[in-house]
Amino acid sequence: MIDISVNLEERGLRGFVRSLQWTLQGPAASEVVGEACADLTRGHLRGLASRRHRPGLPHSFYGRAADAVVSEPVKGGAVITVPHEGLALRYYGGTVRPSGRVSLVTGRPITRLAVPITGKGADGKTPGDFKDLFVIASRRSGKAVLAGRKPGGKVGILFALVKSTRHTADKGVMPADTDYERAASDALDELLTETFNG
Amino acid sequence: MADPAATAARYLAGKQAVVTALSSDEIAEFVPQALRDASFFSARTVYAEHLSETQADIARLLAGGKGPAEIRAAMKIRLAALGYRPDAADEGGLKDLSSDIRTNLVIAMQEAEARGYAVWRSQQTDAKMTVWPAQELFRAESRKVPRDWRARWNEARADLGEGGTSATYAGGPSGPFCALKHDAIWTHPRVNRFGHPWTPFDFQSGMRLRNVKASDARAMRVLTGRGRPAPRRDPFDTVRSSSAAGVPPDVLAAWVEAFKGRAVVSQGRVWVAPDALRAVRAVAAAAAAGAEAVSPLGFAPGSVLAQAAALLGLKDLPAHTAVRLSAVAVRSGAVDAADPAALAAAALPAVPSAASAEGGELVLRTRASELRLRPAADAPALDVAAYRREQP
Repeated sequence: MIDISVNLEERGLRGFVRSLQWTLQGPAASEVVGEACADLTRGHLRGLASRRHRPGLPHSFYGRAADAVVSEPVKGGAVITVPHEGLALRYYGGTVRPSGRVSLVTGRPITRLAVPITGKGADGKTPGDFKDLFVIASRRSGKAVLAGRKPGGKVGILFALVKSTRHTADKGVMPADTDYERAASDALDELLTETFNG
Repeated sequence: MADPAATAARYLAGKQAVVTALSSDEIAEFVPQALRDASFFSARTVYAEHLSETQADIARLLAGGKGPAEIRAAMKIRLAALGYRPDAADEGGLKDLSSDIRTNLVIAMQEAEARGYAVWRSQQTDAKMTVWPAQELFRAESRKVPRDWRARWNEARADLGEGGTSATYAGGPSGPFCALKHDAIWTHPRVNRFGHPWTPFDFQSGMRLRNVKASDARAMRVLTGRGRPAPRRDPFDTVRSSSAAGVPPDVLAAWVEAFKGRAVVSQGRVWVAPDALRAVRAVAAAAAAGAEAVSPLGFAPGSVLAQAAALLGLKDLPAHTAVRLSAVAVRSGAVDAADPAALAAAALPAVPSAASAEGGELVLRTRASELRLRPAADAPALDVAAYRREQP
């Protein structure tokens, strides 16, 4: 889950008008700032979905993340939340290790991560999607893989078994701060215009 | 609105899991919409535990705590443990409950619907309707064989007629499909298979909604004059009803039975109440925030209705007489809402141990609580006037 807080500071005459607007329209301003930033985030994630989603996978990670975006007004700004498993890992980076909980597949505590080997028929799948998988391990290198029958019927290697995976932070999965500020400012302008002229 | 990040999960958790042997076409044809909308079901799925666990898993996914691959694997493992085996002819296809295509469809549709609801609900405020009074249907995900949305949209628009819709004419395959947020086109059956004002509008369509600013809506002549759509009340906060005409009695009885008192058939219609616990929590939250709120908790059981009618000198009360709770009653201290689950259970007693009429109110007493219900003047309803738990 990712939470983004948006607070605006503008200077000069524009800043004066804006502070007046916050005084007179505080709760409404927070709501539209939240919605504008949520819209921006949805559009950004949909853009990532169209560029990064691999054809053939049943669920679009970034498309689903776009659907999950919600906003909440708070005093003087808004909070954007994306309750979507895996997005925070991409944004902040980090190391993933086995949870140790009991596997639904083996009935034993999980001690390795099963990483699908690209192009081998396991993309977007977990070991639970396959029947009768077996482990092939090398004593010398300590490396292990999960093999089994591929969707086409042939037996082959499907997953690499690893102790952990490292992920570098990718701040590009969320819009830039300046884009948030622009979206929020545009929405506040629209609110002001519609309040007086609408 | 409290905790919008949890809205989608709460929406799904508030649905009643219903097992059915019907196909999706039969469900669409025979099960009234009010029941369908409040149900968590999957065509031809008769495994109750599997259905409830899938519902709970997808609710966890909506809260950001699970992924679809993990849920899909759990579905397959559960079905295998139950001894499920698809017919050989159906294996691997949509009719095979354990196939990739079927499990993915269940997860994707439930997730998309709950997410669509959460966004729709968050947009029901005056300020947001002022800035974004209109919305646009657009292709968010590509499809190998996309549906002809242009034809569907323009047919719905023509059906609504000039003056009956603010919808733009779609000149090409990508629209524009734009209209005011509460335009009838959004729930028109040509555009929207499911009838909710939120997406998805069809199975795996890849189409989503996005906001259109007031200035852009004016430029497109969708918004004219000064009027803007008013925020709508959440349909799941009220009693909903649909005609029961033409519904096979055994189908209706089985579906209503699954709701355990949350649904009743009365006066030729089926009536569905919100999830009682969710309703109590919402009213209690409104009371704490100083806001107004009245929510039905469910339908008074037949025994309570008979007692209410007799004791209060009324001719009779229809089966869809709802028990309602107001924030005013909670705020005044007359209703103890400290334990929402206890209040939800006590407000809809299966068999009250003692009933009496005092000052125009029906008083239901058990060893643990006292509940006072007052007939409402504005609807077939009994308002919770007071509720207190006995001190241990």
